[in-house]
Amino acid sequence: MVKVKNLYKRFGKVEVLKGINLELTGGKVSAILGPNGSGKTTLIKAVLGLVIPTSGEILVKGENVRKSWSYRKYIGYMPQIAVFPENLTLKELINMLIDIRKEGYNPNIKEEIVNGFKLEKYMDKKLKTLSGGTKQKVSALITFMFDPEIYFLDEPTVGLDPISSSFLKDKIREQVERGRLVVLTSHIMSEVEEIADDIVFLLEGQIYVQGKVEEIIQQAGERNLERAIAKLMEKSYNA
Amino acid sequence: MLKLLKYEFYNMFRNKWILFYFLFFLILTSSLFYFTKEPAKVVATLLQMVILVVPLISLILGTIFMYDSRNFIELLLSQPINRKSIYFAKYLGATVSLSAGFLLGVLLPYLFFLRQIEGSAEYFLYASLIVSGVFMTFIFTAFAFLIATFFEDRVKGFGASILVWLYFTLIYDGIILFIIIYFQQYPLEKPVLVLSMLNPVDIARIFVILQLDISALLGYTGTIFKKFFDTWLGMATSFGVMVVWTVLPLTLGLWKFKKKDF
Repeated sequence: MVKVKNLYKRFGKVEVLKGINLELTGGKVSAILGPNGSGKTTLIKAVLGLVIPTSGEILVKGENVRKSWSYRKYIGYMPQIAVFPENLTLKELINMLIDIRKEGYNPNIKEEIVNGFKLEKYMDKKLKTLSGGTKQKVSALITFMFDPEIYFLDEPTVGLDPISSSFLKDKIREQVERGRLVVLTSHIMSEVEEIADDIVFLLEGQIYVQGKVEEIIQQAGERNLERAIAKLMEKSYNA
Repeated sequence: MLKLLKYEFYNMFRNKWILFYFLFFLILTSSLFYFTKEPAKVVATLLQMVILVVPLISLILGTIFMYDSRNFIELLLSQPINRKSIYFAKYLGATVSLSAGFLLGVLLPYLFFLRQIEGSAEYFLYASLIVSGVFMTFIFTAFAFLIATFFEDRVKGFGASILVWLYFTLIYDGIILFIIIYFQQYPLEKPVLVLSMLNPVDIARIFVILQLDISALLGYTGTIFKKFFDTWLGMATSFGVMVVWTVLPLTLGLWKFKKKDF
């Protein structure tokens, strides 16, 4: 569903992505991992068109994303830090997005998530008064309610309490079983091990290792993903 | 895009700055009409406001709006909406609201005092004042958006806005004066004519002054303008130049906005 060919991105003097080649297909949770500053968020933003690549090609469902914008109707994006227009209430934000986007809006999903996250009581509150965790829930809500085919979730469970976090993970698994593609980043390895099928390990703007979760653990000869990834990182630090 | 615009207006009407801006012009124009019942005199005073205050407020508020809505822009950009619509919706939302504040502020007192006016009502003169004020809003908001798109850093953005204002309202006049004095042995009509077109503030001033019979207010550039074109051709030319001055920063800003990383 998403194909990245030879992607380069340079911010001034810093080269953040150095030739990424990647193909992601539906029905899987792919986790993009890597140390801070390895280019995870930039890669996701490039697919979304928020960051304009220096060179390379990105195809979403066969459509080149450069100069196009309609492809974003297939995508739901949950940014790392949820940001909203501050003066709107939650209800106004939801109605506005429905009004602007329309496509794919599913009131049942919305209800389900509002109930799951207990967001009903915040409906008439201004968004700037919400706590970090609640904002994260709102962000998940507006991502899932359009029932997109492709999800980009940038550290989705950060700031969520255990109940909400497991609810969100259940939702993610549910989407994958319906053949959706979920791409997420995370620094919590146990969580990645729990929900991800594939792993893309980024290091200094390049794909260092790529494969199934079990394969990576086996290859490293470690007990769990956290140790396997730690071993990978160590290797790269020494190199 | 129309939907985006709807939410822009919705947001702007809650904005207190627009209200202050409206009240400022309302009170100023009302008090001017209270003291003198001659529209020509009121226009002469308001003109100074139009060429100083309108650009300043448009620049400052335009920059504030753009920086404040960065979060909102990021949210919109991850939705299936193209960048051009977002930029134009923001621009029209800001300019139409600011222009409405200015327009109502100067128009309502005029209509209110219309019956008490002594002498000619000067409809056309008053209309041209409003036109040039609206143009100033469109031109300098376009500059503000261009600046806010260019500079990631707010402080730099505000600095640049103030510099643009200083340049067009004060420094530019100084440069023209310097050129006139330095090259006084040469025929300067045509160069000065071109120089005046390179400054939107000067053009807006000339656009209104051309109709007033107060030659002292024309200044050097205005006098040359009047000599070179007659009133009508001069107004048409200055109108055209103001359109160019709106389109130029707007397209440049849009071009930058389309390539920007968020």
